[in-house]
Amino acid sequence: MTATDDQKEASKTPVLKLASGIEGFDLISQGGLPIGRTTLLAGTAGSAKTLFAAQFLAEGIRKHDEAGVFVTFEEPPEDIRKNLLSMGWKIETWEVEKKWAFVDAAPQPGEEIVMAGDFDLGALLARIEHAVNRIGAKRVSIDSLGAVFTQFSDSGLVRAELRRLAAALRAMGITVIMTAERTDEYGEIARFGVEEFVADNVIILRNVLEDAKRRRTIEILKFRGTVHRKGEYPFTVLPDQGIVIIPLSSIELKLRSSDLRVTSGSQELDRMCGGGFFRDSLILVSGATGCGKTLMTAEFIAGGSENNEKCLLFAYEESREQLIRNATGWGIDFEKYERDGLLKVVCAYPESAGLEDHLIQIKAEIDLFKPNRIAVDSVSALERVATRHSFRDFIITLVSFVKQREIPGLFTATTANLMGGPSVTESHFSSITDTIILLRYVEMLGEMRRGLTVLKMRGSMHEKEIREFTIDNKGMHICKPFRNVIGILTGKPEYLTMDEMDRVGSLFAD
Amino acid sequence: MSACRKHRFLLFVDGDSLLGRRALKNFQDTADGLFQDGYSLEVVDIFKAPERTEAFRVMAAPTLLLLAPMPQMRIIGDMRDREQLRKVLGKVGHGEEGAA
Repeated sequence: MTATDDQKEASKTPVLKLASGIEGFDLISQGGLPIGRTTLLAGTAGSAKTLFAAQFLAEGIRKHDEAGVFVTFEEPPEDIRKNLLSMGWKIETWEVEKKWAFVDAAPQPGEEIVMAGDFDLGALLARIEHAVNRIGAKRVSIDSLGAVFTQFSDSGLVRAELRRLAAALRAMGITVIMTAERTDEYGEIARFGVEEFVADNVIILRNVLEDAKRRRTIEILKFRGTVHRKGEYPFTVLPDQGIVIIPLSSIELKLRSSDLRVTSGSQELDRMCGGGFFRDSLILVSGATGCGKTLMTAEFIAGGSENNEKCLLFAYEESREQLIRNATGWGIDFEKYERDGLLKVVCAYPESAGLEDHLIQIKAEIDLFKPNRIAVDSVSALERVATRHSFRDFIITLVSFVKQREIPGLFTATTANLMGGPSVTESHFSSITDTIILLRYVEMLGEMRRGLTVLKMRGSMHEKEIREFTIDNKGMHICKPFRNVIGILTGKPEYLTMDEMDRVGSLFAD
Repeated sequence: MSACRKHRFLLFVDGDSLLGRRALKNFQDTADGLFQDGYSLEVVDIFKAPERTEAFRVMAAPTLLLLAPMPQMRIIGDMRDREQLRKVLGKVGHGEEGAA
C-alpha cells in the first residue's frame, strides 16, 4: 500500500488510540496504541520487551480499569509474577479480582511431546478467547512470538496460525501487543519473518552499547493510518515505576517568550545584559575550572531569593557542605534561604545514576518544588555518564522542562582547557540557549586575571566588551574592559601597544 | 502387557474438523489393536470446553494426552503415521520392558 492509499484509508476510518498509561509513551505515540489492532514490539534480548508487554496490562488496570490477558510462551507465570513484584505490581491480587489472566503456553520441563502429523494452533486461540471473555479484557500481551517458533518447527504453519490469532483478536476489538526477538539493533525487524502478519504497527526497543555505556531507546517505526512521533526516544527502567520514556520535546514548541527581565544577581552583569536576563531564558555560563562559574550560580540564586523567588539548585560537582562554605565565603547564606523555603539544593554525584535517571530526578524535583528559577552546576559534569547521543537528548529535554515552566535556567559548563576553547556541552547547548556568558582566565604580565563577556543574548542589546572581574568576600565585581589585549577568547592573549591600538582604532574611523 | 493398569487418554479436537476426525480414527484403530484389555478415551472440544483446554495447557489441535499410566505424554497432530503411533503407544506403561 502506498502512502496516499494509507492517507485515504485513514481519512475514511480514523484509527483511534488506546492510552497505554506507560509514562511518556502516550506522548510519543500521540495518544497510545492503535485501538483494536495488533502492534509488534520487537527488540533484542534484554531490551525490556516483556516488561513493556506486562506494563501495558498493568497500567491498563491501574489507570484505566481495563482488564488484560498475558499470554506467555517463554517464562512461566510464577516467574513473571515474582519479577513484576519488584515493580510493585501485585499480579496475584489482580488475578483474584479478575483483572489479569495468564494463558500459560510456556514449555513444561520434563514432559514428553511427540509430533505426529498435521495440526493447528486452534487450542491456543480457544484459550485466549476464553480468558478474554472470562475477565472482559480489553488488552492482550503475547510474549514472545519467537518462542512459539521454537516450540513448533513448521514456521510456515506458525506464521499462518498467528495471523489467524491476530485476525480473531481484531474481530473482538482487542488491542494487542506481540513481542518478537531481533538479532541486531539495526537489522531486520524481527526473526522468523513475523512482521509479515503484524506489519501494520511496529515498535522497536533498543539496548545499545555506546561508549561502553548502555542506552535504551524506543522507536515507533510505523502506525498504519495514524500519526506518531518519529525517531528514537530514550527510556529508563525504574524499580517502582517500570519503563519511563523521556519525550524529547522539540525546541520549536509553541513557547511564548517574555520580555520581562529578572536579575542575574549582579547589578553590573544586569547592566551588561541590557537590564537583566529574560524571565523565560536559558543562560549558559561557560568557563574553565575555578574561574567563577559556581560563584555566578550562587549570585543568580541569591538574586532570586532576595526577591522572594524560589530557587532550585542541582549541584553535580561539589558536596552540599562545600557549596554552602563557598557561598558563605562570598557573603551568600544558602542555609538561610533554605530555612525560608526559598532554596532547595540537590547534590548528586554524576556517577550515582544513569543520565536518564538524573533527568527523571530533575523533572521530579522541578514538579515538586515548583521553583521560580533553576541552576545546574555543572551540566558538563554529567557528560561523564553520558554517551554522545544521549547527552544531546539530555540537554534538549532538560531545556524543554525549564522552558515549559517559563522560568530562567542558568547552566554552567566547564571547558576542557584552562585558557579557553569549546566544550562538548557548549556545542550541544549554544544553539538552544538564549544567553551565553563566557568566563576566561587572562594571563597578563605574569598574572592570572579573569575576563567575562556576554557572547550572545537573544532579543536584547548587550555589551560586547570583555570585562575584567574580581572575586572577594562580597562576591563578584565586574570592572573595566580589557582594552589593550586581543585573543582572550582563543586563549592566546596578546598585548597591543598604544600605537597599535590607535592604528586599529583609526582603521574603522569613517 | 500390563493388565493391571488401565490406559486413560484425552483427545483435544477442534469440533467436527477434518483433522480431529482423522486423529480420532487413527488413534482408535491403533489403540483397539494394542490395548486389548481396554482403555478409556475422552474427546474434548477445545472451543466448547476451553477451561479444560486451559487446565491441560493444550496449544495445538489435535492433541492426544496420556493421563495414565505416568509419566504424562502428549502427541500433537492427526497421527496419520500409524506405524509411528504404534511404536509410541507400544512403549506406554512398559518402562524398561519396552526399552529392552
